[in-house]
Amino acid sequence: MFGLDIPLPEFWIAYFFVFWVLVGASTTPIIFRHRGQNPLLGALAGIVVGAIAGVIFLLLVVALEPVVDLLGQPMLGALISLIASAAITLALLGFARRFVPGAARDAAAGAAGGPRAPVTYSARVDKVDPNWQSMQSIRASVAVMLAALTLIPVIWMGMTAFKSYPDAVASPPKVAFDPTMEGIITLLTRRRQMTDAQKAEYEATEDLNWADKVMLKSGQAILGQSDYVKRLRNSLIIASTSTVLSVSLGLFSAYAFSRFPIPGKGDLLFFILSTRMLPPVVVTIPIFLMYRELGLYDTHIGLIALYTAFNLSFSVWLLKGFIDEIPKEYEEAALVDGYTRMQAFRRIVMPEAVTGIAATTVFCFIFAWNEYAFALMLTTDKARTAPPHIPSMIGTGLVEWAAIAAGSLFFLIPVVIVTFTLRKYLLRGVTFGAIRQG
Amino acid sequence: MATIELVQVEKLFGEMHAVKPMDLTIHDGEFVVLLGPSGCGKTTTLRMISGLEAVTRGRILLNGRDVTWERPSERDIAFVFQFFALYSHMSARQNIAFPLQAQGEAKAVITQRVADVARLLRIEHLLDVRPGALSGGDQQRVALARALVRRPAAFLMDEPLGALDAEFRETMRAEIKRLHIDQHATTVYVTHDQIEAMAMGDRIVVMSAAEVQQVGTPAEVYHNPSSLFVARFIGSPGMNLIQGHYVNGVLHLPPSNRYTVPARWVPAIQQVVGGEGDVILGFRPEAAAVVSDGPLAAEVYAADLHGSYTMLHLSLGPDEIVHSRARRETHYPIGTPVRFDLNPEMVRFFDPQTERAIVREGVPA
Repeated sequence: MFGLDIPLPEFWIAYFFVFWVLVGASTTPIIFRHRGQNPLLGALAGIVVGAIAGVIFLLLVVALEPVVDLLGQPMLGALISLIASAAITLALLGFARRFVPGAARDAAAGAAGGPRAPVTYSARVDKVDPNWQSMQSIRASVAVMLAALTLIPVIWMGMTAFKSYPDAVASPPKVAFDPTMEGIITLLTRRRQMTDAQKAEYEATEDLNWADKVMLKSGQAILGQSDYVKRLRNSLIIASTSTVLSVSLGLFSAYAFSRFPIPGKGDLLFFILSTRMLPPVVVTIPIFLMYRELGLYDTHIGLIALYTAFNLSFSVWLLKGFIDEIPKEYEEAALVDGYTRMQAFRRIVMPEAVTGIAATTVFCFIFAWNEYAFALMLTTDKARTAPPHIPSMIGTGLVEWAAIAAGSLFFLIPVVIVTFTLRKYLLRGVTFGAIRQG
Repeated sequence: MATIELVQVEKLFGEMHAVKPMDLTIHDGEFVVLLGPSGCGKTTTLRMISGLEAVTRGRILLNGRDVTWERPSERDIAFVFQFFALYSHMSARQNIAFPLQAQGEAKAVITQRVADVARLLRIEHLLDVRPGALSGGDQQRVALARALVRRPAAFLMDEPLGALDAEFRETMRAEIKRLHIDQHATTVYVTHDQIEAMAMGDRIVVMSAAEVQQVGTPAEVYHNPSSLFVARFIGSPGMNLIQGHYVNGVLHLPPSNRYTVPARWVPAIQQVVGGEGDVILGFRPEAAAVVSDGPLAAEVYAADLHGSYTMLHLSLGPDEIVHSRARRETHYPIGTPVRFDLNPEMVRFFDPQTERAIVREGVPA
């Protein structure tokens, strides 16, 4: 989409300014507050630092131009400038920090018997230390920027989804563009290209809705709905059903493996694990033949069964680890307190294992949601999921990048929803067990 | 309340005996302590009584009813675990109410009984806290409340104080004892701490290597141990045990000490070893007193001040150290030769072959 070899790409400059302004704006106010200064002043300082960093970057690129020309490596200049200007800015920040008044006052307050304001954030001495706190906020803002860096492709995809065709394929790539719904409408409809005469006639008809008008600009008439929504619905049905199945089956078998003396337990567990040792794609052809014979080809049940089978080994092993960590005294206490094993399982084991269940659910869902090879081989239309459908839109001739980007964007949403709903369980150690391992 | 009877109860893990056939009757309202080193089968016994572990052979009777094959939930027994086993996803209140919910009690009854038991254990202010935020002692109080709230036929406690800090342990020990006296509930308590067992038990069941060694009151197991194991295990330090050679009423002890066996022990000893044979002499540290004309000679090996008394380590021979309790004021430099005597009421004899005590009629406990 864009390369480092473009001399002074607007994108890099914009990105660099934004990066440093954000680092500055998120770091300096905190440093200022800890030192008893006005945080707004700090934010201003941060923005100034960001601007200075951007200017240093620009100057470096210009200064390095002859060297770069000499070496014939155009992207080298941008890279060196990037790293060097970051280093210079950090050094400047560190140097400027000495001149922020307050350190002496802190020391005086410490000598006088304590901090000026009530310490509400942490009672630990090392965490109250201003240096520790400013390091902490610098670390946090760097983490945010790294996250932003990894999000660039996703953001780019989101932008592309709203670009018109000329904007989408423009080089150098456009950061600022006129948003249009063309891509999304292209994704959701089937259309026909019109000649000028047809276009004039079409334009004259009364009942043109909003979408028709958008497409008219590129001379296309909407004929009907595309298959995309159907594919997405298939994806949802297949991924969620197989996730529910593999997590619930996995939970029961993991519990049994964890708690009961099953004959040949080790062998069985290894057998379950061994289904993971073969790359699934290897067995595509036999499975294809089997499915055709069994009438499972291009059915929802076929893909659900397949994904459940693939995820089951994973979910058994993952959940077994989580259940092993729940002391068996938990259920035993419930058993002597008058509960049956099933009740103890539902009321004690499941709430205690919720972290594991959530993590397994996310992994299983993502696998089933993203699976491409089997969906491509084992479905044609009725049960076809979104992953094999999106690349098929590339087709021949003109590539509708905006439509593809829009399709991928919608495809992301369910995974994001699932992961975000379960994210608080995904952090281990959120719940503190009442069991003391003495 | 309840009587618990174990009839030839036995547990095998594969080929290994976890508990060899044992008989035990626990009377109504009694506080029985199962005591023994780790791996002796005491916890397995407790788990068999609760039903969490199936018996291999034998029968368990609860109030005369055979419960051997009943589920834990059908036995009306409460279990307190060493590591409390409080549910971390529930508040203390929900934890305590949990067993009552199993019985399908009405909401009002549950609220009332949780409040009652919380008052009894003085944890009313902690009811809305999650177990993770409680101290060890408070966690154990909540665990006890969860056991008490149901008013079960019997309480089973598996080292409930084992996970607590030393200071809490003392407090909780007294609390549990007090609770037992107030509630008068049949209690089986497992511990490896003989001090705890002595302090709390109405009766102590000493176990070792999957076998019951002795059943008796704390005084009985302390003063009249039935075997060398019990003699060593109970008391800190354990009973002094010196192997000697018995010849006609006199016990020859190393290196060249002669101890005249009290006359009333002679028939019992002669019945076991005849006129001459090896006998082990046992006595508690408080039975030995340093006196200038005592019959036994030894050398001071070490002396530790324990606050209210001094524990003397006396060496009879190269490997024979005995302990003696002396007044704390006395000062004995290492290497001092001393003579000591034994209280004739407090000496005991053991057969080195069978490792069992030599018994005599009318030994006071």
